Order: sequence, then C-alpha cells, then structure tokens
Amino acid sequence: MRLLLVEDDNHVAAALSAVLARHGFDVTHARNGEEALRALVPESDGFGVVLLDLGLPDQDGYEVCGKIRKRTATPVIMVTARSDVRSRIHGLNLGADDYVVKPYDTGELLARIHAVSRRTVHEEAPGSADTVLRLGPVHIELPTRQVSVDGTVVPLTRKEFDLLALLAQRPGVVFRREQIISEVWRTSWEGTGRTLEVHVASLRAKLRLPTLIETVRGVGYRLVAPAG
Amino acid sequence: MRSRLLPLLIILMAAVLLAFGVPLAVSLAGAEQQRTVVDRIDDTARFASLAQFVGDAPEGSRTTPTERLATLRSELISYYEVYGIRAAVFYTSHIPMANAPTTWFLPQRGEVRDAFDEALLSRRSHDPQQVWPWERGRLVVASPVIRDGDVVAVVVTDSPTGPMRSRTLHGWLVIGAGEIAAMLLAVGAALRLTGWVLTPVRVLDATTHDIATGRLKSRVAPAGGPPELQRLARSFNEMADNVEDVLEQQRAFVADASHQLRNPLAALLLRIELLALELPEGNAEIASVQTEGKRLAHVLDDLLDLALAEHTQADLSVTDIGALTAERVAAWSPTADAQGVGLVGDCPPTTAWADPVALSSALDAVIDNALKFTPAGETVRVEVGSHGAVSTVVVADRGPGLTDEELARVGDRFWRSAHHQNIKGSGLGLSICRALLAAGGGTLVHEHHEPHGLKVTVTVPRTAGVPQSLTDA
Repeated sequence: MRLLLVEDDNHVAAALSAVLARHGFDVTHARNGEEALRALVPESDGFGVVLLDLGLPDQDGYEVCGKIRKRTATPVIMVTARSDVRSRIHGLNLGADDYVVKPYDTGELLARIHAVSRRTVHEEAPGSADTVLRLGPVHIELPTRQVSVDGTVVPLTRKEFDLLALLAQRPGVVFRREQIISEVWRTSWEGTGRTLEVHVASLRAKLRLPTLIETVRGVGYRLVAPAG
Repeated sequence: MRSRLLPLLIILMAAVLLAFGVPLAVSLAGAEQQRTVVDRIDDTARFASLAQFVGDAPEGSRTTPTERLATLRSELISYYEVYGIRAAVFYTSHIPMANAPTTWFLPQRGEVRDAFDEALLSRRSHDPQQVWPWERGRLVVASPVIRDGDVVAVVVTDSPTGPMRSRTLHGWLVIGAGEIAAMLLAVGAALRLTGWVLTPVRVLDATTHDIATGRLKSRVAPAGGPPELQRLARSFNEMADNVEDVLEQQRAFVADASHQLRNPLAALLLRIELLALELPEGNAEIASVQTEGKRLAHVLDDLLDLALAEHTQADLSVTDIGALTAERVAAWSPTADAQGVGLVGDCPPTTAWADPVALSSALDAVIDNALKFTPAGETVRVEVGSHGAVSTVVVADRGPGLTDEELARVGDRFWRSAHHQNIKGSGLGLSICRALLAAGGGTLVHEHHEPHGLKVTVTVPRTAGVPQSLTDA
C-alpha cells in the first residue's frame, strides 16, 4: 500500500518512513503542502492513506486537508503535535478521517492506518469484485470460504482461513502480530502469540507455498504474491 | 481610613473656626463695652460741665448757683429715671453735691470708690474692666469737675450692664450661628473630600483582590478622585496588563516548549522502534527505553494540560457534586478492585457552583493519587458534604501519608515525595488539579489523616459570587 507522508520535519519523516517501510508500506514523503497536493494530482495508482502534519511551512495544515478532500477520497490521518481537543475537532470537521498526536505509539498509528484504509476499501467495493482474491496460483473465495491453489481446493480451519484472508487483503503490507491476534482471535492477549506461529506454519504446509507468508522479524507477517 | 481622615479634617476645621471666632467674640464684647463707656464719658462730661459752676458762678452768668444745682439735680434724676443709671456729683470731701437716686452715697471701697479716687487725680476712667455677658458687674465711669485747674468735684455714673451684656450676647449668638453653619459646611465638604479621595482607593482594593484571587482580567475602572490616585490606577492597570502578559508568555512558553519537543521525541521514539525491530524479540533493555520515552511523552502531555488548565475560563454552573462524585467513584471502582483497595463513596446530593468537567478531572487526579498510595486491604473514603457557603469533597486514604514538610510542598509543580519518586506520574497532576479548581474559585487542601494516610479536601463555592473567606484561604 502506498502512503503519502506530509511532514516538514525531516528527522521525523525519515524515522517514520523507515518504520513504515519496515511494515511493508511504500512511503512517499512530501515536505510541504504544495508537494503533497502535486503528489496527489496524478490519480494513477492512488495513495492508500495520507499522513498529514498540521505544522507545514508553506500553508496551514487544515487548509491542505480541505484541498485534499476536494481532490480525492483518500483517507487523511492528521499526525500532529497539536494535542488540544479543539484542534482535533477542527481537524475531524475539515474531513480528516483520524487524528493522532505526536509522539505516538507506532502500533497505534499502524492500527489507525489499517482502520481507515479498511473502511475506504469496503466503501469502494461493496462486496462484489473483492469476493475472490487472486494471488498468483492462490484463489481465495470469501463468501464460500474456499481456498484453492492451482485449482486444487485446500481445506483450511476457520482460524487459518481468517488469517489468510486478513493477510491477503493487503499483499505486501506487514500485519503486526498484535493486529492479527486482535482481528483473527478477537483478543488482545499476548499469550496467543504461540498459537499464531502454529497457524502460520500449518498454513505454509497446507498451501505448499512456504514463501507465500513471510515473517518480518520483530513486526509480524505479510503475504508475498508469488510470480505467475 | 475614612474614620481617621474625617475627624482630622473636622478637628482642623474646628480649630480654624475657633481661632477666628474667639478673638472676634472678644473684640465684639470689647467694642460693645467701649461704646457704652464712651457714651458714659460723654454723659459725665456733660454733668461735669453742669457741675463746674455750682457754688461759684462765672462772671456774667445769668443763673444763680442754686438754680444751677437744681438744674443739675433734675438732669441727674431724669437721667436716672430714663436710663436707670445712677449718677452723682461728689465733692472732693466725698459729700454729694447732687445725686440720683438720693439714697446713693460714695461707698468706702469698691469699684465706685476706685473710679472716684482716680478721677480725683483728674483722670477720666477710660478703660474700666471688661464686663463679660456671664458677669453681673456694673460699669462705673467717673469724671473730674475741674475749676481753675483744680478738681473740685467728681461726676460718677454707675450704670447697670444688662443691656450691654445682652447686646454682646446677641452678637455672640450671631457669631456662634455663623460658626455652626460654617462647621456644617466644613463637615459636608470633608465627607465629600474623603469620599472623593477614598473611592478610587476602594476600587483599587477590590481589583487587587480580584487579581490576587486569580481573576487576572480585572482592571481598575476610572473612578475620579485625586490626579495622583488616577495616575496610580492607570499605573496599576499597566502593571496588571504586564503581569498578565508575563503569565501569558509563561503559559505560552510551556505550551510551545511541550509542543516543540513533540517532533524530536516522536523521531526518537520511531528510531527506538526501528532499533527494536533489529534486536531479538523481547529484549528487556529496548523495552525499558521505550517505556522511558513514553514517560517523557506523558510529562509533555501533562505540561501542556497544565498550561491549558491555567488558561481555561471555567464554565461554571449549578452542579450536583454528589452525583458527580458518585460517578467518579464508580468509574474508579474497577481500578480499586484490581488493586485490592476498597473505595467507598458517601455522596448525598449536594449543590455547588462549579465546572463539572474541571471538577471531574480534579477528582480523578485526587482519587487516582489516593488509590496509587493505598496498600491492598485498606480503604479509600470519599465523602461529599456542605459547610455554610462551601461544598466539599473529602478523599481520605490509608496510605503512608506525608510529613508536615511534605504537606507544605504538595501540589508544587513537579514536586514528588522523596518516598514516591518511583511511582508512575509526572508530579504535575495536582498542579493541574489546583489550576482547574482555581478557575472556578475552588481550592485543594491536604491534611494528615490520623492515624496514618492523607486527607484531601476539595472545596468549591455553593453559589455564584465567590465568598471572601474561600478566596482568602
């Protein structure tokens, strides 16, 4: 997934880009409002989410947010040092989808990125095109909960299917362990970590595609679409 | 100040009026007597001229001495009858030549005799002793009858002083009335003057009190008064502006600083996150580094909260602090249960004039503290009550409590008890709490809770209009 990071502080931008890149995001950095708006003009392969800092050198962050809203439906998360309630309300009223105050917890920021992008994906495709996910030889039929590799149906348990379907939503993007545990096992209990590893291992074995699910050390897992 | 200024002005005014009035009264009496004396001297002179040739007629006189004596006598008698003034002509041998009334003779001593003796030396009585209105003395004027350069007889008049005294008294009454009128005028003027001087002082005092109790927007309205005080009021307003600006700058600085620190801190935390990704999972060092970073972020949040709390205008309304406190107690109950600490609330419906949001935040901070320091198995009690003009919420814990020295410092910014340095928190919670309460005229007091523990009393006014005693506390 592509992210547009609008941030004037290079140190923050570099660190955040690095962290996001580690989580499988493709980050484009814009240093000011002008650059950000230019980056958003060619709507070829749009950005999944815009992370917008309010303290920009050339124009007010709120103004930029308003312009982005007019131009595209890309979700905007305001990432800013302004923590007071009025700023938050103003930002959300102007069309921001979420508001995160610096310094943020990385896990929380990522969870919010996933949350807003999930909402927009569902809005764009209300249950038609996305019912079948195709990842090279792997076909995932969401309504019937059937998975086939090269035409052969592979029987999966409920949790295994949920796990695969989650990772397949955003191929390439790293899902943090706690996020997977939240969404698949509906719990925030850390002890589920072992169970997750067991399920990943069994998925790899059943699909006979050991490289399909990649472990990102310290972060979580992601799906790598095999060629062909 | 009025009670000092007013008598002073009145005493001064009275002294001035007395200084003018007494000599005026004295000179009035003197002038009155002088007039009478001059009158008598004229009369005695006339009698003297009549008496001059009784007994020895001048050359070519058409009247005989006996006729002249008769004339003198009749003159004296009519004079006595008309004016009531005794008059007589005595020879040097003290024998009366003529007298009216005829029973009046020269006494052996006394005023009449003194005047007679003086006149014998051919001196007229010029300056008899002053007769004051309250004396019953008589006025004696004697005049020598001189023939051929020798004193042959003495004319003596002995007049009652009644009419003169009553004239003097009348004059004095007029003066007295004038003085009283002037005094009343002076008292009125003094009242106006003290009012004029003191009104700006009172306004200034009220404004100073307002500012001292946190209403920094108060300014002195122009209230007239002496130019010096008007200048003082202007200077005071300038000072208040300045103080407000400085406080505003300080708040802005705290807000800006905590704001500006967020970017570097965010970058730092992200870098730590990256480092953590490189290290094997579950590395204890990196986890504690992350915890420290988050603690720093928490302090920044609190600093900003404090700056905002000090800036907030309280949104005051009549609030049932009983219900509000019960709600807070209920909200904290799960935390208390998790720690094994009892949390008991006694919250009868109690009205207060407070900002519900600010009061909730303040109570959260106080209850949070109480739970933090109370060991498992003990109980934290929250009691709502009202005492006269104020309503109170008392939060009493059974923790270790604080020493007297620590009690004096509790609530200072960043202050934390030396025994509690390692318990989570920034040391700003109570400062924020105090700032939130102060905006609505409330206070926060810490006391010992016998035998051990801490008792925190949150006090808020019951009605609008902050009572004096509360703000002075």
